[in-house]
Amino acid sequence: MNNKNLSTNPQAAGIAGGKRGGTSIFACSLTLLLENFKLYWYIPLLSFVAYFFGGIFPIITHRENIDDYSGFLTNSFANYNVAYLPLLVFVPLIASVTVMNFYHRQDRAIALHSQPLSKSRIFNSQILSGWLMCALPLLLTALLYLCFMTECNVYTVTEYDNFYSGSPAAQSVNIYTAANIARWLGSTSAMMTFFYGLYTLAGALVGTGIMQVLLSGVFFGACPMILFIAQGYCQEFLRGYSGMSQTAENLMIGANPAVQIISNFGEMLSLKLCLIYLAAGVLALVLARLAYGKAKLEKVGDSMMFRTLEELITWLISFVGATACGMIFYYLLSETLPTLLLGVFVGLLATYFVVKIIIAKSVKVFTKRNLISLGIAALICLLFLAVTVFDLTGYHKRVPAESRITGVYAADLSPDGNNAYLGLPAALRAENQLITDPVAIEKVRKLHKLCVELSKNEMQLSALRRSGIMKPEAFPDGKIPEIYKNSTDNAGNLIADSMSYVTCRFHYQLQNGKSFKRSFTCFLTDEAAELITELQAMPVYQDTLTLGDKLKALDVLSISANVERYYIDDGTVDTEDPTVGEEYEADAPEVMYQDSDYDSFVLTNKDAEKVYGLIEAMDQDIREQNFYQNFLTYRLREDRYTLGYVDVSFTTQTSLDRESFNQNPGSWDSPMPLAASRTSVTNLPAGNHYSFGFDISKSDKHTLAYLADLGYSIGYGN
Amino acid sequence: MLQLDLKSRKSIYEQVMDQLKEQIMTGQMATGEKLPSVRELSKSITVNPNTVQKAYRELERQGYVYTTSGVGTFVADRSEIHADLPALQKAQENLDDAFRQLLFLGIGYEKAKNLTMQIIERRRPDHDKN
Amino acid sequence: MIKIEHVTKYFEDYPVLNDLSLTVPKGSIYGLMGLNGAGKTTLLRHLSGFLRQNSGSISIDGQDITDNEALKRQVLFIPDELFFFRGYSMTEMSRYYRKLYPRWNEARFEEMTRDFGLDPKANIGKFSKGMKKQAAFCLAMAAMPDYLLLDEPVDGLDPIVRHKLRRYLMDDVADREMTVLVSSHNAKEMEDICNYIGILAKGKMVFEGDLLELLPTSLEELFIEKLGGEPREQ
Repeated sequence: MNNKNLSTNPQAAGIAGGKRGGTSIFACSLTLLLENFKLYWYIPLLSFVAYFFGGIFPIITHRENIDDYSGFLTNSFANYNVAYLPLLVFVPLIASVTVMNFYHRQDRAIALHSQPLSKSRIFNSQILSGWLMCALPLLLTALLYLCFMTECNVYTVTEYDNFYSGSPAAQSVNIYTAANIARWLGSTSAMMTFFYGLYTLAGALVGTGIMQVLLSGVFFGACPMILFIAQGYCQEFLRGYSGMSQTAENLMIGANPAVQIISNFGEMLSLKLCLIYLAAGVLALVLARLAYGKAKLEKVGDSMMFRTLEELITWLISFVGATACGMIFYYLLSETLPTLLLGVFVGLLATYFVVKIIIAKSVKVFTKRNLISLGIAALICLLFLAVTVFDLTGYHKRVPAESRITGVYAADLSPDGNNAYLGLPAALRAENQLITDPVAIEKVRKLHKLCVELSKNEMQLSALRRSGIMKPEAFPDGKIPEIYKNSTDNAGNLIADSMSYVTCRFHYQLQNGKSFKRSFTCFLTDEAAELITELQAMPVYQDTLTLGDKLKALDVLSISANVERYYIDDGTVDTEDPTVGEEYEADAPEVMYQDSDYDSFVLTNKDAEKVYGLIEAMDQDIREQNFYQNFLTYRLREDRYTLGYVDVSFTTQTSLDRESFNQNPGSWDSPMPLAASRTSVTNLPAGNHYSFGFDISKSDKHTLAYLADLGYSIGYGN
Repeated sequence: MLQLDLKSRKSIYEQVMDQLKEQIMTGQMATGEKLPSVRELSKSITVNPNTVQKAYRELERQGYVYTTSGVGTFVADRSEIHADLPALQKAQENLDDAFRQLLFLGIGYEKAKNLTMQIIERRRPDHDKN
Repeated sequence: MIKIEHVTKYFEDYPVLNDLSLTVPKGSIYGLMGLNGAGKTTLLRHLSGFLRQNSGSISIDGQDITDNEALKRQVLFIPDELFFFRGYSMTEMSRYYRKLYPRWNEARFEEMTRDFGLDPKANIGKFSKGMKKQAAFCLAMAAMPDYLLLDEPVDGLDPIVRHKLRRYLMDDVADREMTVLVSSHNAKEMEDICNYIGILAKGKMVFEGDLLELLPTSLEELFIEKLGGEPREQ
């Protein structure tokens, strides 16, 4: 062995990386590995047994009718399984706490470090032992899956699809394949490594097993929790907040594999995400090794190994406790600012000192040092509140300069908050259409600035909303705008309810390629209402709402529609296909829907031009809408009630989902969808399948006329 | 061989020294006889080898033994022994003290003297007895 | 030789070892004495490679022991709190030690185990405290170390066992020039087996020297003189 004399400066010898006294950083001791397995063989065994009964046994016992278990199998492969998911979370914890005992029990630590084993060797051997304890059951389970592999089919075409597209019989996909087993093994190993790394890092930062469990819990929940709380505060208090950015949402869900699995509902994770987890896990282990190298071993047995880290983690937990408590007080007691602040204050004190007591293992924590530290935690909370509640950064006031804007997405400004067309694929939705006309952009900016002004008396507006009564003080010039003159209840009182305000969503495309988003929910002023009307009257704006021309520009393979109408059965309505059924619309006056029925007829692909004609009629009705008039007469209009509903299905060659619902990068990009049984992703010869719908009300004159021309009149006995 | 008295107030070192000196002076070990090596002696009486080593060196310094390196330690000619002055004085003091103790017992001077002579006679070296 | 020069170690803000210097000559049996809290155990933990000092140098055979596997094969530490793998018997522990220590002497191990009357197949966890200590000695000494570090080794052992241990220790010191560093409160015991002594107080060395040169002063007297209080007997 290398017996070179090291310098007598221990710091230098300790810091020099790579070879120390002749051993490399990758050194491992087979001896220690074996001893760990001799001592803790029951951990991988029990884990394997759990995997067996949780996932393999049901498959083995139902091999004859395995197709019935296709859902169970696909879920299992995604770890969306009642046994697999907890195992994924907890087995690495148990393994990590077990092998980290070399660092958490003083007698063991002294003994091991006195033996001819370098720190690297000890660490690598222990950590590898633990990892193997987690990995072996997975490997065995995968092997068993292979052994019992048999064809298990998922049917990917439903009757509904068949009927409307006129395609041949059902198609199926075998999901019980070696490829999928390999995917399960790979993704589960990656996530297991992530958790194992995380828990081990927690273990390296603390001095006892219990603290490792606690800190692991903190690490486990910290990221999603903080984002969730921040989101809650912004949503409630930050004027102009338009929702979590996609990155933030991805982070909130993706930061924790368990959360990601649950939010995927049985779809496997993407390869990219698995690699990220794997890399993160390995990084955590490297950090753990560094922490262990730096740690002062005389602190083994103390709660925390590093003073600064103790403070940081205390601040983190205190922050979460304070902000969470603030929200709890706010919602449970009274939704006012003082209550919120009280909650934050109480939460901060309670959480801070409880954490300190747990760490110190005694109640003597009211020291000067801790009080200073508490002050810093308070500062952090204050900073957070300043940004979110008090908006010290002026978030809500910012409107991008004209020169920086390349385009604006159509804001959703209709009075009842929905576009005419519901359920459109992303590429066709109004809010995803970019308007580049400078006049329109300028109007949007003007509206934006108005909203900023109107949001100033946010607290009063909230109070107004809650009170339900319209008050002049809530408006800038102290007068109730004209637009609300018909907002009266039966007794003639001016009311403020959910129909009294509008949510204006602003989404700009900037020159540097970034998006700028804000969202304001405000009561209108006449000026604002007029501005919205002007905007919606512009052809460029209307083009974003209409659908006919967009559909015609696509490569639509087939299209069909199902038209439903509601009527009062007084014998005057001509029905083609009387279908017995009763539909009641909840918010309509009772008298309207007594004895009402609905019937429907279908336009198949053979009548494609009629479908287009119907849509174009609706487009025309959309163009003729006048925001101001609608809003003014909203409560008076009988004709806002739904007379009928149209459900359109179509198939295109290209995908319209680029910015789809599931923007979370969590899905496998695989030609063999595992979640096929749940979504109606089809395996038709070609194409992507979509559907959307729209209501027909009395004011939709063109649509009603078109239907009448088809021989299908809608109306109450008209 | 050497017998150590574990209960004695004398340190191990002193006991080893005394016993070796006794063996040499009473002729139990002849002139030129080889003493056991430090290792052997320390193992046989369960004593720190350094202590034994030290004892040997001190004996050599006082002239009881001599060392030939590589060969061993041997009993020296008794005539080579030079009395260590402090040791001599200490021995005299001890004798004095011992006799005083005897007198304190109240047996009278003559009785004490006779007892003492008996002891002295017993310690006459073998080769001196006629 | 063990050489410790101007070593300081802080626990939080308190200097547990305060500019401590100490030399243990090769082949000697060095007694480390001091009152409770003087730093004896801390010092031994540094020598075994568990702790690292803040400043100063510690060398064994001219080398730093930190992460030094080659050196650690020759330095064995028997701490005050013993550790054995859970449920292991002496035979199982010996199999583990054999893989770690190249000089492992199975014959010596079996001889000592028999001599102490220990059952090699029994679970060490069930042994009494004294028997555990004996087991620790069997393991440590069968590894034939150059350096043996002992923290309160004879605490709780009966005189017969102590005598046996002493014999094994002396044999090794005599045969192989093994160096022993012992920390203890028991002045009489130390006096009998050590030839070198170091007295620690508050992390500093207050007296170091050859025991044999002290004579006729007893170790106990020295202890009292240097530390100004009653030394603790066993």
